[in-house]
Amino acid sequence: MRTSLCTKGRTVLIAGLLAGLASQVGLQTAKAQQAAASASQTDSSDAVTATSPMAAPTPDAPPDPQAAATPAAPQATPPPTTPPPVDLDTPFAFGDFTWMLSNPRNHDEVLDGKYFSGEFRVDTNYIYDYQHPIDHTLDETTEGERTGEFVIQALGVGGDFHAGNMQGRILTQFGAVSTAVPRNDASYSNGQWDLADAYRYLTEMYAGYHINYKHGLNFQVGNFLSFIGLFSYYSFDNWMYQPSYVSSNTPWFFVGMRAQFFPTNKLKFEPWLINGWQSYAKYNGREGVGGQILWRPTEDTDFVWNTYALGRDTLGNDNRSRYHADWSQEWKYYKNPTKLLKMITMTATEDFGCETGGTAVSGQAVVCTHGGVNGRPPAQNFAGIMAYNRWWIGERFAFEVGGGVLDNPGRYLALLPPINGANATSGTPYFTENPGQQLRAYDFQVGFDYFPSQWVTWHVEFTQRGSQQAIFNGPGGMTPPGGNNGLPQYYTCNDGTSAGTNVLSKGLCGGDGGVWYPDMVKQERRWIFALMVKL
Amino acid sequence: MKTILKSLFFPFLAMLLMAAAPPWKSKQMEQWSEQDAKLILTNSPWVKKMTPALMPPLNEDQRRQGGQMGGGEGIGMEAFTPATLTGVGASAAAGKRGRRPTHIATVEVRWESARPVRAAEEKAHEEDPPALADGNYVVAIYDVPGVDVNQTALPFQLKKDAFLKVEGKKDRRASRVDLLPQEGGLATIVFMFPRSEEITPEDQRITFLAHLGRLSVAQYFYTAEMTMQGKLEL
Repeated sequence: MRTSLCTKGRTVLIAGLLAGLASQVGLQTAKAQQAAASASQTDSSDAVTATSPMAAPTPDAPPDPQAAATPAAPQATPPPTTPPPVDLDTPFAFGDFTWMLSNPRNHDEVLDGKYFSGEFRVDTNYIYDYQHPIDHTLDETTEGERTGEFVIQALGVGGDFHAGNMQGRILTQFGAVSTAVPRNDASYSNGQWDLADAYRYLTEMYAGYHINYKHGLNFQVGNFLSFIGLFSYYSFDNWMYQPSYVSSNTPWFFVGMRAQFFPTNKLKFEPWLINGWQSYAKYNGREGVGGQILWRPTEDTDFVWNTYALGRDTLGNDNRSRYHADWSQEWKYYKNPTKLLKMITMTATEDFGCETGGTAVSGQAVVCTHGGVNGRPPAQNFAGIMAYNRWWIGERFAFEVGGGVLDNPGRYLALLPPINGANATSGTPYFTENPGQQLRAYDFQVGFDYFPSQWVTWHVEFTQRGSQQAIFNGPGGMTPPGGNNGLPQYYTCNDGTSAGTNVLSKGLCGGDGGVWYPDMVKQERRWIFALMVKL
Repeated sequence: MKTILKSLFFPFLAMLLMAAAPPWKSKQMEQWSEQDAKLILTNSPWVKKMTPALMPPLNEDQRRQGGQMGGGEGIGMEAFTPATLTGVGASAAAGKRGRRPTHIATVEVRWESARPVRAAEEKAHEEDPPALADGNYVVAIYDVPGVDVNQTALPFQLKKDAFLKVEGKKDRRASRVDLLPQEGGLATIVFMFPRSEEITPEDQRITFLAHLGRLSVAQYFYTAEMTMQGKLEL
């Protein structure tokens, strides 16, 4: 008897655990399904089942020949509230696009009000780097700056102001990104007033006006996000924590003005007039122009075309122009809200760009293609692709794989390694970005998510990146002995002092123990653990 | 005695079955009463009542992508529970996406071009039934809320997202949509699908799909049931 009670107890316990697990992954027991069925208020049993409001109905209800002839039993349904309008006017409101990479997946807003829709984001991580860099530094990315320690990657507070046709948005960026992103922009170094300091804690700040023309026309001025490279600037909105180079090395924001025109509820045209390529200020004498075309023909497909042109985005070089094309496609190619595997979704992104022009005398002239042919200057261009796939398991889990490659002769889109505190203005003699220099790299990620609620994501990811050039931080780190010496543009000696020159010569640092070199490697493997909140 | 009982039993059974059978199976169209007609128009293989699926609310990011801001309703403190962060606990369900169902009215999906339906509409003295178009299957959704029937662009948009699906055949997209006003601010939306490829009894199931903005209507019809005197009526 005693044994059987124990066995029964164990059985109950195991059953309870299994039931709990099942509920966590969104499995429904027969009873739950029954309850859900009655709650779905379907009056005819052969109406197509729609168990989850997140998904459009899927034809999977079993045939019931009796249903037509047998009157449905009256059900105690709640009284209908105000009927929702058949809204084919609001752009992109005809579908649920929360499945997309670069869109947050929450349906309910926490801080939404009549004039202000508040937003609060926190992004924290712990990154385990197999290289164990002595200086805990991570480079060649803006989505993680330190390894082997807990990091507050980003903290954003703000929201949308809306009154009548007036619109405004502000969101702060505290945390590691407020250093890691502005340092890739050298534009503020042209002239006075340090805009990098002025803007660094704000990631979005713009005001605008909405006009009810066709499906909507907006004019907005300020600092707004760029979706070149598909990924959102905010990790919560993405499938992977570490975006591929096509996203990580292309702009996160623009400063300027834009219009948004919606000729239909499925199409947007968005021209830009901006200071430059992810620049707070204007590097030289000419603004950049560009734009986005966004088309969502169905709830399951998304196409975006971004273009950038004419901007002169090289510090001190007023004749070199930049061009870039960025295309992305997203596709929900499997959906079945009644199954454990609810959706499978994928993305693909293709980027092409180049620079052309420049002063030949100083050796800074470049061409888009056919560099070095018949005495032409070196070619300076960018080609990259990336692709991702996500499996949505139940209501609470997701699994994803993806990666990409890039080829960037001239390295003009490389994120300069912060050797000795270097940034885009200072440069570094240890990793130069000059015409003719090569950069080829790949990366891939495998990620897993737990969604305890629609506002929180726990994420684990393995990422591996490799490059033909040594660009990643190795065990010895990229910080000189004794710390940064304040002169990253020069070589550093082994005693930590600056060599005072960026020209390597025999005997340099002869009295200071020789020239110090950062420990740069060609391959990087990491685990990323992240907790992201968006309210 | 047994023989007498037997001889009475089988006709009696047959009568009972006849009485239980629906009018479209047991009677000729001309014999239908008004009550029969009403039954056909409320509960028959050609007429289904269903509740459209309503898409979850747009979050602020989606509204912003559409060029607009605000208009939502924050749920406030409800979001701040330990379960929001861990997913464990009684209130964990609060964090599930789109957990707030919006109850919307039931609509009626009617296979309008079927002869029994047209005959029943006439017998039931229904006023202004939707016009049919030759060479089309016609399916109508009655009692749709929130439609401005004077919107000239609306039928053009609706027809792009309405389909008749039959397994093994190419999806049939609506070729025309009519909007008809109903009492109480409701509307009837009439979808016409070309009969370019006939639906046959071998096509066991027909799926009618229509997206009405954020409402999604999806309804099965079964050819085995949609027959009268052994003939498929569509």
